[in-house]
Amino acid sequence: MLTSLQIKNFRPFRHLQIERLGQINLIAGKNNVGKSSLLEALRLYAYRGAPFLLWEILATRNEIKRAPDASLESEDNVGVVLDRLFYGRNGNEKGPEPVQIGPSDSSEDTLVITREWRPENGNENLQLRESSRVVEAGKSPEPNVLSIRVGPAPIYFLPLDGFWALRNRRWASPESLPAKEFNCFYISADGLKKTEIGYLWDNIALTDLEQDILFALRIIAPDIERLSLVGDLMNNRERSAVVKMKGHSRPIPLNSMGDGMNRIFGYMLALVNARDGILLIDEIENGIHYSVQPNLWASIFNAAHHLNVQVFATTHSWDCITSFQKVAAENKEKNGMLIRLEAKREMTNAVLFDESELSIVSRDQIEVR
Amino acid sequence: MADKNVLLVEGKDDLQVLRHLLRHHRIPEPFIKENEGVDRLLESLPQQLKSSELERLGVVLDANASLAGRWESLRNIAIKSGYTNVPVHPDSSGTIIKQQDKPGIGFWLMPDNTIPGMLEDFVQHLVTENGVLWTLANDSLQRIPKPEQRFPDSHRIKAHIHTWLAWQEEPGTPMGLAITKRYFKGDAPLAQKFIAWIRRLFIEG
Repeated sequence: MLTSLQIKNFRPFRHLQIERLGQINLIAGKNNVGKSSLLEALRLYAYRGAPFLLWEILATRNEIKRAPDASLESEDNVGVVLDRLFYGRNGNEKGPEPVQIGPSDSSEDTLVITREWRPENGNENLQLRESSRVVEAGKSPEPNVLSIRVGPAPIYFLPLDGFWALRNRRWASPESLPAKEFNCFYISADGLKKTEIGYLWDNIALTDLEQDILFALRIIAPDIERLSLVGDLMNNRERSAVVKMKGHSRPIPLNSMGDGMNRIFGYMLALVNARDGILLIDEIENGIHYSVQPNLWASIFNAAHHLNVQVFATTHSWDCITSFQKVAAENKEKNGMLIRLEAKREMTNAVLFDESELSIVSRDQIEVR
Repeated sequence: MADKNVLLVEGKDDLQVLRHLLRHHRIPEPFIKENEGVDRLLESLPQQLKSSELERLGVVLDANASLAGRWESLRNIAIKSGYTNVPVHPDSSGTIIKQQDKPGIGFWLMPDNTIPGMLEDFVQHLVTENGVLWTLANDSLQRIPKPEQRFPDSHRIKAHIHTWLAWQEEPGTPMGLAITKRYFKGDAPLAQKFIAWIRRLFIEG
C-alpha cells in the first residue's frame, strides 16, 4: 500500500506532496485543480510508465487521436505531444523538468520520466548512452528520447521516432520491466464498458470472489440471491448482469433495480480484480443517486479492507463527500482519508482529513469540500 | 456554504455576548460558531483551520484557572497546523498570527489575555459606572449562608452578574441582549480593546 505520494512536474502539478494516504482515499477540490491528473499519475506509477499508458492518457484527454495519424510519424511532433504530460508544457530551453511520481519518503521507488532534449552538443547525453538499454532491440538511443526509470533500476529509453509503434506496449517481459508493476485498475468517469464488465466477470466467475461481489451488492439490495451475466443474440460481445431476487422466480436485469446498480456492480467487479493492488475511480458519484451513496461507501470500505485494495476516487459532489465522511468515521479501523487539492500560486496543496478527523468534521459540520 | 471569516467561541453565552457587542460597534459579522465547551473547541480547531475557503479564524476562549496552560494548548495546535511564527506568550491586545498561504488566526483569552478568568469577568468590565446595584448584588451574594450557596466559588462572578441583571428594567435579560439594551456599556475600554482585535483580524487583515 502506498503510504504517501509525491508528484513533481506532471500535468498541473509543479509539486504536490501528500504526506499520508489511507486505504480508501476520496479526492476533492475545485474544477481543474488536478483531481483526474492525480489518478493519471497513480496509473503511470503503477504501470511504471508503460508506453501504452502514456498514449492512453493523452488520447483520453483528446490530446492525440486514437486513429493512426501521419503527423505522429515525425519525432518533432511526437515530442510536442508528449510534452503535454509535463508541468508547464512548453518547458524552458533545456526542456521540461522531469516528471517524478512516488512515495515522498523513498526515491528508490520513484518513477522518473525525462524528456531528453536534443542537445546542442552531443556530450550531454554521452553518459546516458553508456548506461542505456533500449526498449526496441537493435536501436541505439537517439538524443530525442523519453527516458523512464524507477529508482536505481536501469534507465529505459523510448526513441520518439518509433514511439507510435509502441503505443500498445506494456513493458513486454519481466526482465524488460523497469521495476515490477502492481495490480492497478482504472474506471473512467464514464464507468466500465459492457465488454469490460464481461471480461472482469469471466476473471472471477465461479470463484470465491463472486461471493465478495454478492456480499457488497447485498449491502445495497439485501434481496439479491445470485447474479449472472447474459448475452444478447444481436450482440454477442456485450453481456449484461441479471440477478435472482428472493421471492422472485425469474431473474431480473440488474439495471432495473434502480439508480446506478450497474455502475456499482462495475465498481465491485473492479475491486475484486484489483486485489492486493490499487483501484482508481474518476468521478465515483456519476450515475449514482445520493441516497445510495452511504451504502456504496460501506460496500467499498468493506471490500477494499477484505481484499487489500487501496482505493483512490475523485468526486465533484458534496453529497458524495458527506456520505464518505460518515462511513469513514464509522469505520475507523479501515482508514478512510479525504484529500482536498488546492491550487496555491504555483503549488498544489493537499489538505488531509483522516478517519478520526472526519468524525469531528461531521460532528461539528466543518466545511471540507 | 463555506465561510471566509469564522469566529469560534465556547458556548451560547459567548456567542450572544459577542454578537451583540459586534452589532453595537456595527462590525460586519463573521460566522460565529459555538462549540459546546472548550474541549470540543480545541478538538475541532485543527479541522476548522483546514476548512475550505477559510481566510480568517478567530478563537475566543476562557483562560479559566491557567492562562499559561490554555495558551500552551492553543499554541501547540497552531504549530501543528503549520504556523511557524506563533508567539511564546499571548499578546495582551489579542494575538494575531499571519502567514502566507494560510488563514490568519486570532486568539483572545477571556477576560483580557493577561489574567485568568472567563466571559463574565470580561462582561464585568462593561457594567455601567453607577455602582449602587452592583455593590448591593455583591453584598447579597456575601449574605448567602454557606450551606445555601449552590454555585461553586469559581462561578461567583457569574452569580454576581446575573443577580445584577435580575434588577434591571427587564429582569431576566440575557447578557448579550443587555448590551443592546444598554444595561452594559458596549464601549467600555475593555470592549473597545476587544473590538480593535476583531477589526485587526477580520477587517484590516
